[in-house]
Amino acid sequence: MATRFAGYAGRILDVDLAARTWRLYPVPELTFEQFLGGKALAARILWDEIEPGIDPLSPKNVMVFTTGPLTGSGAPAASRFNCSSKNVLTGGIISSNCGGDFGLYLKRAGYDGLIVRGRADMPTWLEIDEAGVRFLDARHLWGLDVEEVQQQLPAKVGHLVIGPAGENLVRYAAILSGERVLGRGGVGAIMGSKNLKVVTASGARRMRFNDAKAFGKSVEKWVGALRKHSITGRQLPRYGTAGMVTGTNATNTLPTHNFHRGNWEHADEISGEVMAERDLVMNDGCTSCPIRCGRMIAHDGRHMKGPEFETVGMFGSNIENRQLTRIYDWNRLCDLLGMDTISLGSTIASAMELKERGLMPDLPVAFGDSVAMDQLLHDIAWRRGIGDVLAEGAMRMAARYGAPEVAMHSKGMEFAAYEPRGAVGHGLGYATSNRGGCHINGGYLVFFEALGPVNIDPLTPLSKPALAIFQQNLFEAVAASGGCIFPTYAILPDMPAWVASPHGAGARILGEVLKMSHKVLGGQGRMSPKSLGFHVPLIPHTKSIETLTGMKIRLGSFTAVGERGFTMERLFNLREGLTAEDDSLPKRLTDEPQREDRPDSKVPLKEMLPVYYEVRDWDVHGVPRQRLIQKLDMGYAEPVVKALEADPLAFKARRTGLFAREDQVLREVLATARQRQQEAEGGRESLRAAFNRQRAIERADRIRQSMFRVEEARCKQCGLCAKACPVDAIRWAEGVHAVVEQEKCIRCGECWVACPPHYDAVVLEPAGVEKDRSAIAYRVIDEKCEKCGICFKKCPVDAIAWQKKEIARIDDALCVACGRCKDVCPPKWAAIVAEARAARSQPSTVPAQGGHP
Amino acid sequence: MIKVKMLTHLARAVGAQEAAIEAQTIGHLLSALSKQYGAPFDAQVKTCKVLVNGTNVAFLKGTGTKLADGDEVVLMPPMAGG
Repeated sequence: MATRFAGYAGRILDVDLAARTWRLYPVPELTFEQFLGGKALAARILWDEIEPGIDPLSPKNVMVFTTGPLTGSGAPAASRFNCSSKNVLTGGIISSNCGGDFGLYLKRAGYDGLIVRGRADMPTWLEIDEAGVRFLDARHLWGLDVEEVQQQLPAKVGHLVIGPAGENLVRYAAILSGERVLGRGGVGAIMGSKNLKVVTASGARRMRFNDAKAFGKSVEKWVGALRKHSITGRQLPRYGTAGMVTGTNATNTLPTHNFHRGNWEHADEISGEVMAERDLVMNDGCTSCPIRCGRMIAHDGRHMKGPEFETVGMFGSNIENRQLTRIYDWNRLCDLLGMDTISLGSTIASAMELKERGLMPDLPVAFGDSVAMDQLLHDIAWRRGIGDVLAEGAMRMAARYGAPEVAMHSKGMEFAAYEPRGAVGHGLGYATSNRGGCHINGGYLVFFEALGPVNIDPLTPLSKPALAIFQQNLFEAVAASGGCIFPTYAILPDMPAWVASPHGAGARILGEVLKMSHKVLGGQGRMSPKSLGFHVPLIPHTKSIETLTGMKIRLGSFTAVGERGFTMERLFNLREGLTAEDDSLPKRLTDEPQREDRPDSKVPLKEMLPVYYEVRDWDVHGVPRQRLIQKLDMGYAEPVVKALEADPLAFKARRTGLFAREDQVLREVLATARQRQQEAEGGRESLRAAFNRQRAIERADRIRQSMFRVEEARCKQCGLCAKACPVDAIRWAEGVHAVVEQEKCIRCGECWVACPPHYDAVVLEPAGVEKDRSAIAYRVIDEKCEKCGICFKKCPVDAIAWQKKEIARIDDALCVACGRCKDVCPPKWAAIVAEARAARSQPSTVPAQGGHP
Repeated sequence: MIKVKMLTHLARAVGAQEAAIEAQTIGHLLSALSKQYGAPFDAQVKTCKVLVNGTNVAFLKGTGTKLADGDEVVLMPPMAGG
């Protein structure tokens, strides 16, 4: 299964939480070529591994975490990883993308992806490294917020953590990786339903480059272009994504009062400009990103992460909150509780509209009145009182109150913070996005219609389907490669001199050209992946992937990866019972003009959708045609396509059935989660002590069976191992890599513990039958012990208990049998002896010591 | 009087977010602002879009677009996010 292509680790880990087993998941090389990685590869795996019709919160759901070849390569903004699974909000597919460090570390541990199945029987922490997977007891962490958990994790490992919202199965619960979030589609709830609180990954595998020199050159050029571009070099670094508040407001695309309007008179008070001028400390970024759109702000006496545009829109104009600082607080609270700010904010806005209509009088907040918001957020995350209703998301909540029209969603997932009646192609994107109301998965046409340097008329339906498809496929391919989509904003260069300015005649001409782009892009669905066999400078991804991996990736084959991934996700949705009816928008957006002066300021979805299907080469029911399936070499999907051709509603009952029983499933899982929370609350300290002891025991077991060696290629010459060695068995000097002198080494393992996990240069090797110390124990002969405590002081692993005037006691479970105690016990007393471990029957009573690794 | 709003790095370059100008067309308005703010304005405005009451002038009559008293003009550098 290992691939010959460079850039990949070549392995995918497949973990079964119920059986507590793991294996390597076989992926044919062709699949890597066809899907690259990321969400596209994850969709392909889910197609094989998820049984249609299952509940997303049942043990049968499968989570697939994937990286792409560019992840960790040093290509700009390529630190991304993805989580795909069955969506808790939509019943279709979810792919959630994140710039946190987990993907990088997963790859360093030697895996391109991680599959998680089943449900653990108790709260669990998956610990992943090059040697494989360990299933750790996470009972002491259950019920804690994200930060409280993160503080207990070792440094320099990649991690995934859920907060209380994930445990309590909030349908839009998120997963955190550092400060970055896998937000959408309830992936946090899925992790919670699996009793999985934490995943950590560490390792030090190095990436292989097919042509490192050419790759470096292409990356250098790419980074230079990004730094120069006005969006990636100025707007995003200086103002972050929140810089779009005033721009969306100016272009009628800022959702206001639950998507009733596209602008708000107080937008300037919550803008990225205010954040940048008043509160910004510095901009921040994911690993290897030259853009650095993240915000570090000073607020409330501390430095903290600033909110993204989506959060500001959802918690600002859409609920008519004028206080930016409150948004900072809620943004942080959502991270601690582990919730997606988009779905959450939209659900709250829908609830406010219900209240406005007199349908939800108990809601403690209202448009323009968010005094009680903090408490409400806690209540949602813990599913308390009215929070339990909002935890279901806008669609379910609004249906329950008899007003489904107030939920601003597609397929069950809430829209991001763009009002599509100011950019109608963006609306088409929301309706066709595979994961539900998503701007990115929808192709982000607002960029071409309102925000970017060149604009096509935002209200015309002309060419929007073809442009949306081009963008959707491109973004899909970029995500599959492991890259962030932000570098693609440099796809439209800053206006060259001959155009003079975006408000001049040149811009108008370009806008007209874009309006005609369907003449070129209209045949996309039938274009062969082998066509466009060249690189273009505006999409540098292809050259970087090619030089990194050795795969032949050109413009045509790259966008074909995107098309294949998108089609795979579409087929997944259709197989789960979604139909063309679900490619929909709320009536507010399709039937009611946003502006009185523009009757056309509504999304002409009915006009665009048939064209969209045709350009994609789908039939009138939105089912990919067989020739498309053949073109994309997806023969395995043919039976499903044939069944849908015969009856487009063939699988619809699966989704209706799922929705009918989903609450019962959720309540059952929730009951167990709450029981675990009570148990943890009652005995957290003893659970933590037990956890630490268990870690120390496992560590001792490994050390007894191992020998230690420093791997030269990985050694960073920091000397930490030499300083930790109690017997000077490690040769090291500044600028020289460390060497373990085996004849002096007592195999206590301290060097291994001291070597930082991101170097991982001290490696364990099996000691072999003769040198294995598993069967050896050391014992203090009571009558010889002079109670001096020197053994206690010198024990490198803290396995000896001693107090003044007391006999020393060795804890068998923690003793690594290095013999240091025997060596340091003065020869005249010789109070310590080695003996066969089996001869000892005394259980250990020494309290737990130690921690990581 | 035309109310002018300048966004993100244009506002930063000229040191003002808002202005009030008498002008009959977008062309006049841009010249007046150029006179008022000088080189920093000229350097930034080249990449900016111009909106009159929420509509991009590229879809109206470009710099020839007529203005009426009370109109709101926004000068907006290109932007994106996600």
